[in-house]
This record gives sequence, C-alpha cells and structure tokens, in this order.
Amino acid sequence: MDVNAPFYELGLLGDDGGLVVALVIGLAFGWFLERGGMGNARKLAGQFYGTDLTVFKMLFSAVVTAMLGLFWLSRLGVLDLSLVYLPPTFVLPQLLGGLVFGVGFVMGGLCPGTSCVAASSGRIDGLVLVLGMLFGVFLFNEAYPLVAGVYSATPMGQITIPDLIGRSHGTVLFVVVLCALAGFVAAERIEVWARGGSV
Amino acid sequence: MTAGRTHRTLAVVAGMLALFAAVERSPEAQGEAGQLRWIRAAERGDGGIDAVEVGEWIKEQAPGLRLIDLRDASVFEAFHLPGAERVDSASLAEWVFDIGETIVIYGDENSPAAPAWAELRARSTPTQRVFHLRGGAMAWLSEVMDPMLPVDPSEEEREGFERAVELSRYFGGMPRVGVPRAEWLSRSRRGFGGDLSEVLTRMRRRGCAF
Repeated sequence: MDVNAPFYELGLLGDDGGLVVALVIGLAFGWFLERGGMGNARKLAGQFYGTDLTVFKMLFSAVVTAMLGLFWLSRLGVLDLSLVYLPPTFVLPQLLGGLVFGVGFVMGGLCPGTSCVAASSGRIDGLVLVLGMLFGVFLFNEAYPLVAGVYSATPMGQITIPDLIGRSHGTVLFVVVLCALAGFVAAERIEVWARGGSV
Repeated sequence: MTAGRTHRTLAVVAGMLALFAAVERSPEAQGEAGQLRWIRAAERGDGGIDAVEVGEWIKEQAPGLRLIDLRDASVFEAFHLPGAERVDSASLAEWVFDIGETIVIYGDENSPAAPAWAELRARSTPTQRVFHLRGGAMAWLSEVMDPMLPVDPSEEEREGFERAVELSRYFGGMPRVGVPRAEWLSRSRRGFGGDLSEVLTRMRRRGCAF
C-alpha cells in the first residue's frame, strides 16, 4: 500500500486546501463537543466533583482512537509517522502552562475549546471566558520579554514516550489502552459513588 | 444495540488492536520511519553508520540529530558535513548532550572517532544514541559527494549507486557513471588517495559544491 498521508505534508491539499480542511475539522470538532454537552460548564465542573466524568472519558477515548489509528495506519503503510508534527517538549513552561490551564478550568468550568463552543451556542459564561482568554493572549505577548527565559527553559526536543523509556510504540500503546479501559470502568463507579449511589 | 453493549464491543476492539500492536514486530516491512530509524541503525551492532545513511538523516532533518567533527579546526574549515559542529577530543569529557539526541561522531586518520565514540557511548542513556561515521570525513566525500558506478555494474552495485545519487545531487555532489572498474575498485578498497586539500581541489574542479 502506498504512503499517502499526512495529506498536507505530502502536498495533496495545498495551502488553501489545508485551511479549508482545518475549518471543516474545527467545525466538526465544535459540533461534536456541543452535541456531547461539552459547552455546559456545569457538566464540565462535574469532572472535579466526580459526579460527571464525561470529559475524562471523552478525552481518553480520543487519545486511544488517535493512537490506535496512527499506529495501524503507519503499520499498514498508509501514513508516514515521521512526517507527523511532534510539538517539542519544554518541561518547566509546560508544567506552568498546565497549572494555569487547570486553575482556569476549575474556576471557569470551561477549557479554551469548550469555551468557544459555549460562546457560539450563546452562553454568556463561555463568551466571558473567550474574552478572558484573548486578554490573556494579549497579556502574554506584551509580557513576553519578561518571561522569555522561562518560555524556552528545560527543552527536551521532539521526544516521545517510547523514545524516553526505550520501549516500542506498540508496547506503550497497549499500556495506554489498558489504562484507558481501566479508567472507564473506574469512572463509571466513581460517578455512581459521587452521586450517592452504591458501587 | 444498547449503549452498554456498544461500549463493551468498542472496548474489546480497542483492547484487541492494542494487544496486536504490542506483539507486532515488523517495523522494517511496514516502512515506518521517524524514531525507529535510530533503533534500526543501533540494532546493527558496532555503532558504525554509513555516510549515505547519515546523509539521508541530514536531508530528512531527523529530529535530535547532532554531528560532531573531531578534526582540527583547519580541516574543519576546509570542509565538514552539513550542520556539523567541531568539538576537541580533549573537551569531549565535559561535553553535554541532551535527552533524545542522536550523535554521529566522525574524524580522520589524525583524529580517530573510535575512542570518542566509546566514551560517549558509555555515558549515553537509553534515549541517546551514539554512532561513528564509517570511514570518517573522507567517506562523506567519497560516498556522498562523489559516488561512482563502474562499467557493467552488478544489481547490488547499481542499487547502492541509485541510493546515493539523489542524495549526492541534493548536497551538491557529482555522481559519475561508467567509471573504469579498476578505478572503482581502488576507491572502494582504499578510499580517496592524497591529502584533503588535493581531494577538495580535484572535486571542486569537477563542479562539486561544498
């Protein structure tokens, strides 16, 4: 089977085609988030009380689906994994970013993607969070000279977990899928318990 | 089908696909590039790597690749592999390389890479790979910048040349075909004759760009 993906990297889409596809995927992503109830801050906040772990289950499902898809498409010779962009790892700034993201998520009840979904479906809290996010982007850019040192600290390059621990992609994939399946079972039980039912 | 049954079916499918992924052992046949290229190279054993393979890594802009030139500053200035950095053998003990990096080290007969390779290899972690360029800097000139195809080539010789020829043009080399077999054999066995400046002058006269 001939390698013909990633489409964009192999020039099958072109720049304009890439933008159109990005728009279509973005709209589909937003539509599915909305239909899954991810534009509702109460539903997302349920994550932190254990009463509704939909976000955990949805995101872990997405991770498992993408990992299995990429692995097997690569093994079938359809996709050249070396052409798939890997964002570089910067330990300290990404830990700090994750912390800011988490605090914002708990306080606002929405993350950047779901706040856009909430805003587009007319929710005021979503709109406020989108404005806050844009203000944060502006603030970060203005303050960049002050934080540039932290921004590029502790670089590890484009590293993957298999690369880091010296195990094959397949082994890591297997462990992640096992964790996901165990996590789904645990999540169901936690939801029942947190809502006052018996496990 | 109920939601519960659908979820269980999907879980079984995901589990099976993951299990097959864990026991699957044929990346060579499947053509995966990326990080596995290092593992494939490392599995060949002696830490040596051919100039053409290094050229392919450079051309692909393989992530984490660093080329270390151990030769004197004057010969480094005369020519070096694209993107290489010069490091003194003496300062190698203090030299630091990062997680996930792949080092290809090379020298010449005056600055052999083998001892440095052994030292770096001993200091490397599982996420770091260290190779030495077989034939040193001259192998780059011979195999990448000036690949030759002898008259009446065998299938193997033709395949080797075809692999090198595109790479050679990419780096500004001048592949040659129809080379008398005696000349080709002499090059294959002994590499370039003469000193580096003579070789470079000869190659530049033929139009090689460095």
